[in-house]
Amino acid sequence: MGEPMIQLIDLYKSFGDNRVLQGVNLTIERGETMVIIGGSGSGKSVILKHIIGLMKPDRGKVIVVGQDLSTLRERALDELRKKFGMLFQYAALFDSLMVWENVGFSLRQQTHLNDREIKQAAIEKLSMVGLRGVEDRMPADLSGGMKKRVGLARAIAMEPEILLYDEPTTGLDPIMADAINELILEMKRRLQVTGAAITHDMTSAYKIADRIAMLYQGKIQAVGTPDEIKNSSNPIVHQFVTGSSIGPIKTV
Amino acid sequence: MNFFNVIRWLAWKDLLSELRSRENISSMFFFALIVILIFSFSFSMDQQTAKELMPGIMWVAFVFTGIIGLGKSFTAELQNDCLENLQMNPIPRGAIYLGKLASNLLFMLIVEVILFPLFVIFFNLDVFEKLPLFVLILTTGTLGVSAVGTLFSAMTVQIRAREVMLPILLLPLIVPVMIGAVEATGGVLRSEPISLYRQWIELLIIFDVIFTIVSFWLFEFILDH
Repeated sequence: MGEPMIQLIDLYKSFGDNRVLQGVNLTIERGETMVIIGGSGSGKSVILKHIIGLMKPDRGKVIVVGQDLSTLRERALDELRKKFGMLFQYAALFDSLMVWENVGFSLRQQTHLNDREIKQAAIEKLSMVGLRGVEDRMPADLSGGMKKRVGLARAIAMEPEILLYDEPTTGLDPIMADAINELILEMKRRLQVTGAAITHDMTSAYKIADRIAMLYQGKIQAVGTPDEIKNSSNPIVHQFVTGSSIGPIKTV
Repeated sequence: MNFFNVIRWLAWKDLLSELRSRENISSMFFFALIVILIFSFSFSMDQQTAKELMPGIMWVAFVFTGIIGLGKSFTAELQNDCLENLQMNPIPRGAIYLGKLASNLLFMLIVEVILFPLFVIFFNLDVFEKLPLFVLILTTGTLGVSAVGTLFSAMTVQIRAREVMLPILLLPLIVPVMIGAVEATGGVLRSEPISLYRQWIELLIIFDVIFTIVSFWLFEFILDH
């Protein structure tokens, strides 16, 4: 077993009467990409927010690179967050900033680089995700796929150790979705990052995951390689990955 | 980026975005314009009656116009995940609040600066000698609405019924601002000595100071929960 990079230990989280996480246990090892799958509203995004410390658990622990997030003060948490890059579902581009300014946003916040150096770094990251000559354009001038690429360029701008992907292929056509999946694999190869993704797109999950975890009713129901999950005998996992409306997962 | 650069950057970002879309200011402006037109044609007023009615009508228009803008203050950031992006960066939460407060205040003041002359024309009032006092009352009254409104806008942005919840939460709390602003505006319009309405201006200033500080401290809690 590899070195644990992220550990979720007996995690509980409720919003009013809605018990979203009910004892989540999951370990993500250094260098692997873990994909968490589950239905809409199952708590996948809540897990991601716990990993980056934007939410605090009601009970349980989140340990990132050996540090228990619950014991960290805001400054230490900010320091730890520098290890993270995140590709947001809707790219999270500021529409009033040019593409290079968006990519260099964290560099401006967290380094002492000047504008020229930030722009140069942004152009380099943009070329890594296959975008050239777009640095002076505005986000509104980009297609959905290009926005995702810009979002990915921004996620890797600070050369993070951990990359988080929030529904990386949602809203994209199958060809563009595959291009984004390829980019995620390439980033892993080139940057040796640990990855955690949440998605309900099984094509994407099978392609980018080293391991897949299935979240249902607030708990991790199964963890395994894409092949193990694909051939799982667990009825919940089987129903989800085959996309069947008949089975233990209720649709209403 | 230091604390003050974040405030400036956020306000500038919102302003640029607004200049491009003109979504907020135009909806605020047309709502307020309709209020002015309806009231000015509903009553046949001599100047004395206009002086009695105008402060209330003007502040109703300004506050409800402000609520339209405040309601949209955080929705753009929420819809495209920018709020989480901001939270992931080591940006002081208080600076996000003050940046948003600055842009909300700016939008409301822009609309008010455009509308105020229309009020003066439609209600046939002579205000030019007292302009500095009007500027003071407009600024302090609008700051009070914006200070509380920015906090509540952040609080309600994730709620489905946010358009309903924002005025329900906001309006009771800004009653002192509305009373203070209406009384002070009325005093100026009636050319009363300042000693008669000074306490209302002082109330506005005290409200601004208290609620800006309280909202500044509460914002971190609101954003993280």
